[in-house]
Amino acid sequence: MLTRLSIRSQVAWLSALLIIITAITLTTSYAFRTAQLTEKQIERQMRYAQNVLTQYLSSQEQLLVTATRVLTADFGFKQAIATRDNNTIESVLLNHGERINADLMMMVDLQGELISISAKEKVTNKQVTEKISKLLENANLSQFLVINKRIYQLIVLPVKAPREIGYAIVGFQLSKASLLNLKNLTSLDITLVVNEQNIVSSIDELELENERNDLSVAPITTLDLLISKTNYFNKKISFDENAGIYALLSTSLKEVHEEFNQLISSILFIALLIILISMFLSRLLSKGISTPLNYLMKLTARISRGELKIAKNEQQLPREFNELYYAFSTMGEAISHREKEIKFQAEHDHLTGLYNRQMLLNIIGERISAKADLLLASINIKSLNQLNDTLGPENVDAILRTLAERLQTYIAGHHESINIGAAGRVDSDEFVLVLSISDLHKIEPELINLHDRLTQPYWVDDIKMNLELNIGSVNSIMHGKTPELLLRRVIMAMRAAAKEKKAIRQYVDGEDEAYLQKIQMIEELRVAIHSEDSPLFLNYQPKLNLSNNKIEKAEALIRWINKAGNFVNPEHFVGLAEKSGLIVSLTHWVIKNVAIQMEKWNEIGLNIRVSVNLSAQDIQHPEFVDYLLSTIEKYNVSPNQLTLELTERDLAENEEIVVQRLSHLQTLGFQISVDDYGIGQSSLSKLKSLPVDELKIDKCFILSLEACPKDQDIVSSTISLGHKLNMQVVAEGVENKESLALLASYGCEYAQGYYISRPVDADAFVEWYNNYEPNY
Amino acid sequence: MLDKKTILACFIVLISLGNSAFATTISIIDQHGQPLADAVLEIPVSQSTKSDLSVPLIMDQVDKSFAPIVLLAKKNSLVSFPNSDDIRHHVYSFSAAKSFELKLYAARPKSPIKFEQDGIVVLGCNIHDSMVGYIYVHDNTVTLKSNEQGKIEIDEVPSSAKSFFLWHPNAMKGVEHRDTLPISLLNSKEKEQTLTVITKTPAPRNTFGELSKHAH
Repeated sequence: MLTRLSIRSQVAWLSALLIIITAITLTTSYAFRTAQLTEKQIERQMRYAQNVLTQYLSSQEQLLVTATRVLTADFGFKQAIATRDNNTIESVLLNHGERINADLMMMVDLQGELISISAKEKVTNKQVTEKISKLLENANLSQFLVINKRIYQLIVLPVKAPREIGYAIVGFQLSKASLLNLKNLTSLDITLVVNEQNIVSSIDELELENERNDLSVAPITTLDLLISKTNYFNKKISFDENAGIYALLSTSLKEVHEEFNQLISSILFIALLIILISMFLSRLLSKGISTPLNYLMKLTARISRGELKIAKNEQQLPREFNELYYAFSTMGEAISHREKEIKFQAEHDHLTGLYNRQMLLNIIGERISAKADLLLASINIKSLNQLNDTLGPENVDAILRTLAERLQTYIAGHHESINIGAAGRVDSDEFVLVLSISDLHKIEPELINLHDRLTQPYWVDDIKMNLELNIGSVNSIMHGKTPELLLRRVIMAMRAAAKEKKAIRQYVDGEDEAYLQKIQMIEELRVAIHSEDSPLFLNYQPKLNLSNNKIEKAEALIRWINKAGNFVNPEHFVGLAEKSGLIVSLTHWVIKNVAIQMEKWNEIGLNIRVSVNLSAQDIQHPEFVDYLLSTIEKYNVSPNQLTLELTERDLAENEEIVVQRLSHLQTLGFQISVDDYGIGQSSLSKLKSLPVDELKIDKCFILSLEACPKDQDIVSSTISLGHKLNMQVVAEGVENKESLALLASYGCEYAQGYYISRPVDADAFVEWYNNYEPNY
Repeated sequence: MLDKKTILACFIVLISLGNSAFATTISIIDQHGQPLADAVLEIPVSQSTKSDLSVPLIMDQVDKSFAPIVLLAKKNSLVSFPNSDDIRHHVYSFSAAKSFELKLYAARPKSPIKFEQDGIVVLGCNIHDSMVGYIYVHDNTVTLKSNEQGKIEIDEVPSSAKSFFLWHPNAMKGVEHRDTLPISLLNSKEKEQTLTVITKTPAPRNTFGELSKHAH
């Protein structure tokens, strides 16, 4: 939570908190100390006061005793008592009372009867008589007597003449004046209490009234001294427990409280002052932090905007911020450096440092916008992969770098292209050079010159290497105005050069369009394969068993009528599908639709073994076998009803997997057939090891079999070869009766061709089958 | 303070009366068992005893004390108060039996004082408070005083008497008080009898020293 506050308020809070804690701690400890001291002081004071009080009462007693002795020793007094001369007694009491300044004087006979009384304050006989007997019990002792809310310290002494003839009682009133005297001595207030009633006190009457409740003697703890609201701390000193007479020593706590309050307020004042000062200082401190922070924040904002060049710091900053500033500027430099690096990598080929395809396109675009006429030459290194294998990648890289250098040199030496030429690497073995041209006639010499320069020997360590290059060219005058178009066409020209084994070849108009058409066709085929209502369909061409003249087999052939309603040559679009990888989906389509058709035929009792053409990509595809099995199972088609046809070329590709999978399929019951036998790279050794059930002799040997004795020899020997290898032989392309007869005479098992039937759709095939009559 | 039982016990006769023909020794003690000197035993008699009243009795003052402390005097006796000290005395009495005053004098006062009334006369000296003396004035009775050992020898107890008095200056009941006891107490067959007089025991003097102790 604290971190959400600004630095300034954090500092302010922190310092204020510290000050408050310090103030409280100091006050508390000082308060305790003061309270302890005060308590001790009060205790000392109380002890002292108690001593003084005792001393005072003792001396009063002494005075009383002395005074009373004097009285009782007076012969005249004795005589007056002995003779009960009451007038005299009274006068003596009065006289003596004045002499010693007594407040109460009484004469009592031995039986306790009051003889005479003299008092400063009016005292009636009745008020005394009942108390006399009690007083007499404690003759010779200092006693306290309360009469009419006045308290007397008195002494009872016998009058001896010489034996006791009566008692003299002399007393001093403990008046307010005497308590005030004591207060002067002890600096404590004294209150005399009888039966819990304040009789007399050194404290003002009015104040006493107010503080009535304070004159309690409840124990007061150290802290209470400071906190309690009571104004007095009291101590009880008992005079006469029976009569309930005691003195209350009270020390005023007012002064202590006032001192304490003063202390608290002064500490509060100081704390407040320091808090104010600290707030001011924290403002200064935070300014010292936030100003450089703001400065640095602006700096980072500049960096984030991309201003990576950071000027040297000219502001006076604290050391840490200076370091931070320096760190930011280093960071900016690093970012700027890396940005350049990234930009370079984004625009250039990593290996050669030439432009990459994208950058090259940009440059061509810029040049064309600048109305420059451009010549684009694309250079292909022939069989770079083989070089890689023989020389090793490092050496090939070195050759590529050398070639790139030569391109750069060529541009530098090209007088017309100093500021216009550019070289890029668009593929691993393909380079593109952009030059400006002024004259179409100069193109050819230019390209020859370029070819000569680039085909000069390359040195790999001490080995001299000659590269074979194919150069394709386009120019912006004849072949297009957009960079993409020019680049595509120049590469097309280069590929054509490679294909046609030409060193230099210019783009020919229309090549690009054919290429685009192919792409369009592939796209349409892709859609066709995946659409519900497919424009693809299957035709079936029957195979005739020559031994019994029955139709036992048929080949499923894919057909396509495109959007324009044209029949597309199957060889054409199957070839495209193989190149574009669509063949797998296409074959899946064929398998599925064949299975669907065969289920229907099985239901109507038409028992035909159908062969399906597979490509090498199909059989190598990891999901092919699963797809095939699950599909025929789904449509209740037995593997025995299917023949898988592959060409020799397909069998040769990735032979290990192909053989393994085909063997597996063969054991499941599928027949494996070699298609187009005789025109590929036929290898008898392969034929020997392959799991093949059937050989299908290519139609080029059959089409004019009856007229060509060489074909007859090839076919007859191939058939006998097949038989020797335990294979059945199929001849396709049978177009006349004579050929069919020849094949039958050679022992060929099956024949397929227009003479028997064209490929027809499923319904037509059923109709044809039903109407078929062997008449060969 | 003594309770009533104790007081009663004091009057119990310990020894039965002896033959009147034999002399009896009476021991006077206080409640603590201490022998009491100057105790007076008075037995009233019917026939008067003759004595010479013209010769004054002597109540001397020696060493700031009356000598004797207790003087037995028959009614109408003359008592002289010679002063044997080398200081002056001021002898006085406020007693009902005889109130008089011999103002500061040395050696012998001019004339002896006649005590016309029976009773106890307490003597004091106005100058020396500690001086206390007594004159036991009796009227034609057998009056005896205990010696230092508190003993009184009685030769013969008058047969007419029914009761007798026992007095001591420090008696609890006051200086004027005499105990009246049955004569049978004296007619014991035993040779020695003990009588108890309850005297004032000096009370302890309290001070504020104790007061302050209470306060703590």
